[in-house]
Amino acid sequence: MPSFLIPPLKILLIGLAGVVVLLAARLAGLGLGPLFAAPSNLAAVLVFFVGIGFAAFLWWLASRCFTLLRDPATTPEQLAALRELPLALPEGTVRALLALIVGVIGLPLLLFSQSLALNDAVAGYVNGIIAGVFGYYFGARSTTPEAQAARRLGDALESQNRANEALRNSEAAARAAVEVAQHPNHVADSMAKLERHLGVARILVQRLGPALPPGLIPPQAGALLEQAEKVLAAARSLPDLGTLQAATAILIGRDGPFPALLRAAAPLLPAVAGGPLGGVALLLSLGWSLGAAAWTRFRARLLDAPHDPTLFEPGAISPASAELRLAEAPIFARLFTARAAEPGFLASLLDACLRPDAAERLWARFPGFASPAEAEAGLTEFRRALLEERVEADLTPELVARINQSLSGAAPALRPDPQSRALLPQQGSDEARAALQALTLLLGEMRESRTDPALILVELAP
Amino acid sequence: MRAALFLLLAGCTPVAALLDPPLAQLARWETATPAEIAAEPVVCPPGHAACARLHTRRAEACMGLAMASRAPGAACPATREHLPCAVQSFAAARAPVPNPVLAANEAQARLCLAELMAPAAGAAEAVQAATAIAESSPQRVPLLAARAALIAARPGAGHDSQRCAATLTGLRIAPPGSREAADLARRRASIPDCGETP
Repeated sequence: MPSFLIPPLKILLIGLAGVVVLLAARLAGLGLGPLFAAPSNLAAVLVFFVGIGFAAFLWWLASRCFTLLRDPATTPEQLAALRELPLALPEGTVRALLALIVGVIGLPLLLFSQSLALNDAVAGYVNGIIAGVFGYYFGARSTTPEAQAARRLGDALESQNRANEALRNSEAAARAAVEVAQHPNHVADSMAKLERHLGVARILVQRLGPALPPGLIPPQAGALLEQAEKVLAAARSLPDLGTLQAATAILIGRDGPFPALLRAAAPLLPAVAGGPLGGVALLLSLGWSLGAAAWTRFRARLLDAPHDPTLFEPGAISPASAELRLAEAPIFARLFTARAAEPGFLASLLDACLRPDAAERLWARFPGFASPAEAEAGLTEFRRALLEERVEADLTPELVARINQSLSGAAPALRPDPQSRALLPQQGSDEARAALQALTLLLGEMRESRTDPALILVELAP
Repeated sequence: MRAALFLLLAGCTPVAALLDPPLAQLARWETATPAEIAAEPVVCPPGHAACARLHTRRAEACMGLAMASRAPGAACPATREHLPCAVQSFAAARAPVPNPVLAANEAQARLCLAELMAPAAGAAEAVQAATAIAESSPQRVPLLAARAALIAARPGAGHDSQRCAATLTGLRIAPPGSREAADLARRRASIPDCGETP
């Protein structure tokens, strides 16, 4: 017999068995008359059968539970999950069962309260119980979104929002460019442009400047900023297009703080097609477009931040992968390349490097370092290589192509080659590194204020 | 077994242990720590319904202990401890009935074991993991296969032609944009006559 016929057949046979019992009772002279003699008798029988019905239902559920327990395919996780559930039943079953009992018994009691000669007080109690149970049952129907899924969704959404915002900004910039071309004397546009560049200059001169090596920000930048602030304040009451444009030209020109910092950081990206300045511009725009997790890695790489395990996905780095990073870490490459084929060596090395006390472990367990300082330097190189691989993977060719497109309207020096691939900065002078780190911090501020650096970059004249 | 199950449920564990030792072991492991489970071999006659669950329970315990010793971010532990137990138990657990989750876990344990071997032995272990990888859940196959290919392509794992073939196979299946895909591309570039140089 086909298996799908068994359940309905079972129900039919159970029903037939009930009918047979009733017929037998009738043949034996046991009539059902007394049952209908008084409504309260009928209610009592109803409650009795409902109780029997629920007992049978629970028996059926228990038998299914035993079937599950006996099933070899049931995993320990599933069993553990069952243990945490009320009566080892799927979540909500007990709640639904209670609601059903109250509903199936309580509603008829309420509806037939007159026939059952219940007084108003009892009917009121029953009504209260039903309302309470149903209110709780439907009120408690809420779901808890899975935290990891929500985080990934949030990240994807943020990334998408940034992409959308970049598109909107590009469109707005294009419209603004058309508007300016049609109405070159538009004062409001000039004021907005000056405000944009003043915002960047304030961060660089007032907040980051004091911490930077002398000379990175031009000495006259403070005075220029003060002058531009005055021009903007004056323009609010009495706009003067010529003064506005002159103040803006100084900020975005060669002596402005932002162009000066871009030039200072450029030597770190000498190999980028389109020129080093284009490389920095590309890097900043890429950083702005990244999602939250990728931005954290990108910032850590550019700031040479200390190792943070949360930058890597759990369980992501295998020893075979670490072997490839050896070549990018000169100290480790010199000391350990010959030992890489030893059984378990790479796994031990990677394990030590990913621990919080990595430098001490390396010095204590891996002979060859000249000093603890060299062990620490080797560790820094190796961790940097691990992080760099992830950051490079975050900068996808599609993203690079999109950013190249958005910078196509920038000054020629800031325009990356359309075919260029993003390159991360190389080692360079302390000044260049400080400049790039200042630009990274500026980029963080721009991400906070949702200001696309591409919009600022296309207006620069370095 | 049914009688033992009822006795177990009724709390008569000693009697149940006499009637059905595997079921009693399973009941004992419900409250045992992973270390206790890993230390106790499975005692189960072939064909007993509880065997698969016992092996699964032990495999999970061994794998959990092995993975718990990993450094933050590392894919594999630094020592072999518990990995052979995990491999054998996962293999025994999925022997009666194919199970993609158990197969993926077995593959992962085998690959970690391979990472701890010399390149040639590791490549052989990665080949053994191929069966488990093939039976894994589809979403885990690309990553596991790519990691296996990376192990098989290590310097010293075989002739350059074999390493190159492993790399190309891995590149075809590796998840796009993954660390493994980038690693395989880099590895391919380092093998003579196997494609582009970086």
